Amino acid sequence: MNRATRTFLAVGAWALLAVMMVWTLAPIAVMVFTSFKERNDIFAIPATLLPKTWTLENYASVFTSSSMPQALLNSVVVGALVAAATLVFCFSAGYALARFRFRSSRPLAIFILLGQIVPLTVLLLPLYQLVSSLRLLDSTIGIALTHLVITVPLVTWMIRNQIAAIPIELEEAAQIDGGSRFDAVSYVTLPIAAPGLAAAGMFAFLQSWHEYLFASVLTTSSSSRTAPVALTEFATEYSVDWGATMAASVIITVPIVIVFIVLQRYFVGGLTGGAIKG
Amino acid sequence: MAIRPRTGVFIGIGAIVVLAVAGTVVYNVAQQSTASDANTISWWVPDWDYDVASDLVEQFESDNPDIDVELVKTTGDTVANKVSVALDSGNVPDVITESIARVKTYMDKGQLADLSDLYDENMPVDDFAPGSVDVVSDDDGTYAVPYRWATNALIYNPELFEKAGISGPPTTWAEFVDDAKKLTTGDVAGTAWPTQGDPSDLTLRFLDFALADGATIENGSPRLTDQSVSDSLDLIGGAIRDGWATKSSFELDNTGIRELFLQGRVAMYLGGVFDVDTAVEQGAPVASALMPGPDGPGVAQGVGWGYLVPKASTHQDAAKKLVSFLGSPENMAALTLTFPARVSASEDPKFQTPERKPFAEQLASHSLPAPNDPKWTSMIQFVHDQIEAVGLGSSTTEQARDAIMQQATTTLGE
Amino acid sequence: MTQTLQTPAVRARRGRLGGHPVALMLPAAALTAGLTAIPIISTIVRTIADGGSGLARLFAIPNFWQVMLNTVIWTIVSVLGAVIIGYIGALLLQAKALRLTGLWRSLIMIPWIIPGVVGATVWRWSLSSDYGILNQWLLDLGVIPEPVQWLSNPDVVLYAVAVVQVWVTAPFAVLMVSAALAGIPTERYEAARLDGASAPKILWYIVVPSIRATTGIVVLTLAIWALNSFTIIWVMTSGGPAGSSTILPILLYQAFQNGDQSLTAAVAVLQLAICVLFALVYVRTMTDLEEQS
Repeated sequence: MNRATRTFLAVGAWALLAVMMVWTLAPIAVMVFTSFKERNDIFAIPATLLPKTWTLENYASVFTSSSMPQALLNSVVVGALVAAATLVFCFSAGYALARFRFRSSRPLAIFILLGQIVPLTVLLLPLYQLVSSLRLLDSTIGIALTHLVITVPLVTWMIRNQIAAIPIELEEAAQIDGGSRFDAVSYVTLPIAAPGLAAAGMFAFLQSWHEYLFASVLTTSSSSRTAPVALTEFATEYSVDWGATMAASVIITVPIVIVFIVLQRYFVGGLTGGAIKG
Repeated sequence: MAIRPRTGVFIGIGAIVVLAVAGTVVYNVAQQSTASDANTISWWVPDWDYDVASDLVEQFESDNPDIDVELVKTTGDTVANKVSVALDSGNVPDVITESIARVKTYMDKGQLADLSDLYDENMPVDDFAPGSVDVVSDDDGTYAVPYRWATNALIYNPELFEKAGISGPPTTWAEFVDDAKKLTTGDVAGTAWPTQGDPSDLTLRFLDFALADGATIENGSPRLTDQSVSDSLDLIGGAIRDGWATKSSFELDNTGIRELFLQGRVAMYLGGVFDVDTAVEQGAPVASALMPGPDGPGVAQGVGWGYLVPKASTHQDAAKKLVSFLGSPENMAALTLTFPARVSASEDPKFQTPERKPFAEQLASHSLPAPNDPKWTSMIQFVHDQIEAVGLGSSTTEQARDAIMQQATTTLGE
Repeated sequence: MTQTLQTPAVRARRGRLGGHPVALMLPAAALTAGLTAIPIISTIVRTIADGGSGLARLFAIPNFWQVMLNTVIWTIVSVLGAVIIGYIGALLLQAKALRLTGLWRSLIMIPWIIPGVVGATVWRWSLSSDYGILNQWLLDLGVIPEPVQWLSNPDVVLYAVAVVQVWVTAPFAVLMVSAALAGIPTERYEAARLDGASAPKILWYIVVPSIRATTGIVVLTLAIWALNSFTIIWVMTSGGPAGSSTILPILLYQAFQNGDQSLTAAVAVLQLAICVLFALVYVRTMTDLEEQS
């Protein structure tokens, strides 16, 4: 490949990236600019992207007169719990499904997958009663428990696929050196599976992050309310404070993006370099 | 078998997670349920009422030192789900502020306590807006105390009217149509209809027209007639199709219309008193009038909010005391953003401003409670879609009318 | 990569060190069973117990077949769109010419991170015929002669909202495919390049097969999301105008809000049945592929 082609491709790549960024971030720009707009500006005709007058009152009202800061913390805690619990459960199940071919493995696997498919409205009352009987109403653990329902089935399959793609010979090679199966898993399988596991963890976190139905019904006090529910506080009976809603939205999104940037190193390829030899 | 360090760490983390979750569960189950104070009652209040409610609660608690009230905030989006789940599961608060439209569902399931003994000489039934107590009662009792009750009326922009050379707001349907057509020029639309958002916003206006033209409400269920349905379809769907109601009605909900009105892009519309208050606050030109009917004032449906006491509540006496306290005219007036359900309470000057007067009159003299039969509720989406079809031009008024009447016969059994 | 010989010794070792697979599976299986199987069964029972009247009413809903058609179109458009954008994005981020790919990848996630209601509302504003920015820009650029009724034209609306679904869900596809691409050992690329393979060939013969399993689960998840998605449509169009953007989950929500338990159960069962079909197709395809390899 000569230099001209390489430059051409590089420019092409950057151009495509730019298009992708515009597609992704244009509505986000609207969201961010709206958070700095005054009430009258938001629905003004003709519409302008930038505020006519910049104001911080939306951010002020989110921090001072809403339960959003607490709700952000709650959502992060619930999400982290859900991600951790999901990965722990699903790694064991996914590993078993991938490595062991026993007779009931396929029906069991399908059965697990079915759990993902149920519309949540069907589960609302039964799960509410379950959480209530465990005295976990209005607590972050209670919500986290119900969220497992929407994360465990698919994540089990994700991890199962991930592990099935790792040749078992690698684990056996580790065991030949005198380690137990557990060691094989933690020293060989986990590092290779790390990108897939990180993706699954993010998936579980975001599924929990977005969940609204259970959270709205299972919480009553602001000490356990999660972000999606707290967001509805900005809607009064006849109108919605969109400026504050957008500001709240920015406030809860920024920390998550930062965390994701930090976690990006798990997506670096080449971890398997050298692991497979003749 | 020796376990190497990294493995140990992972197993350790896994064990900790499992133990922590299990431990919390066990702890919670084993703990004695917090001795519910014999006289602490919980009241679910929507967040727009919360501040005033806190003040009222302070007063109540000082009048009743042996009762403590715990306030829990609900929001407009969550209250319906929370309440129905709570009532279905038996895990209930003691007083709930809920929309009157949903009371019948709970009533029919036997989930509410009978409050008829609260309607005494301090809170007589006939002080309440026409029909508002009937819709929350059945043969065996009364199950709620309404505290907010309001109707729509005509809201219009007097400056746009002046510019178009129209001297006053329309008082009949013919004038309404005429004026709207005259006002539709350039950027301005004569009127707009909310087809977005909650479908019952549209059907409320539809029924408001129908009720002035021959339709009636019996036992909380509408009885429609061909004529009334057809005329109402023309006024709403036909208006969109013919252009004197903005075609962007398909994208507008109540908020959208209000915003357009504030920008001077809609000249008049049927709306609630909150919109008027907002316009006054924003300094936009606004005035209000009675809803026009076929040849005189039209009929508006009343909707509102009230207090319920779940039957499963363990503190019914204390709960009833609170409801009674809240039902006094001054307290009702303090809590309501629109209009109080008790006529005597609306003598408070804040309800007597010139912009609000037509609403008060509409409520007192030309209103009916909105239907609350769940069978009608199940039909609302269908009626809404038929109106839209007329607006799109994909159905004629006659076709839509026939479809609606047929559905009414099947569903409402008339 | 060489295969170890399937000697009897190897096979025996595999079986013997198997341990107790079922024991490993129990936590996940028990949790899922308890939490989901029972309500599913009770819903099905409830649907059958009332004599199927809920189902009968469901099929009798006047625009039922339109809703089904809308659901099919919606699912196909949003899944295809998200898969295409997801793959392009993930592959793009692998390109050697780019810097700061971690940052770009995180920014691409943002549509998935913001609250669904907020995203839907921003799009709704942007597509509005009265004050939407999109129409304004298109008019200014001379691309269209007059404003397009993105959300009130029955012929366009379903596709407009599907675009928003793609916008929200494509990041998931980018994430999953990126993770899968990271798992392809670099030796494979080098070996292929040494053999003189061109970029498209590498794509076709190395990349696509390696991420087949991921493609499967991405498509499955996107389809399940599409079949359960209601916030976007509800916020943007409430299913209108005249039902032209109503899909099955919207119908479910409407029945649920009306407190119509038998209809809700019927719609839920129908939705369940369709999703089960997808899941079975997925499992069959995946295990067949694995058997082959």
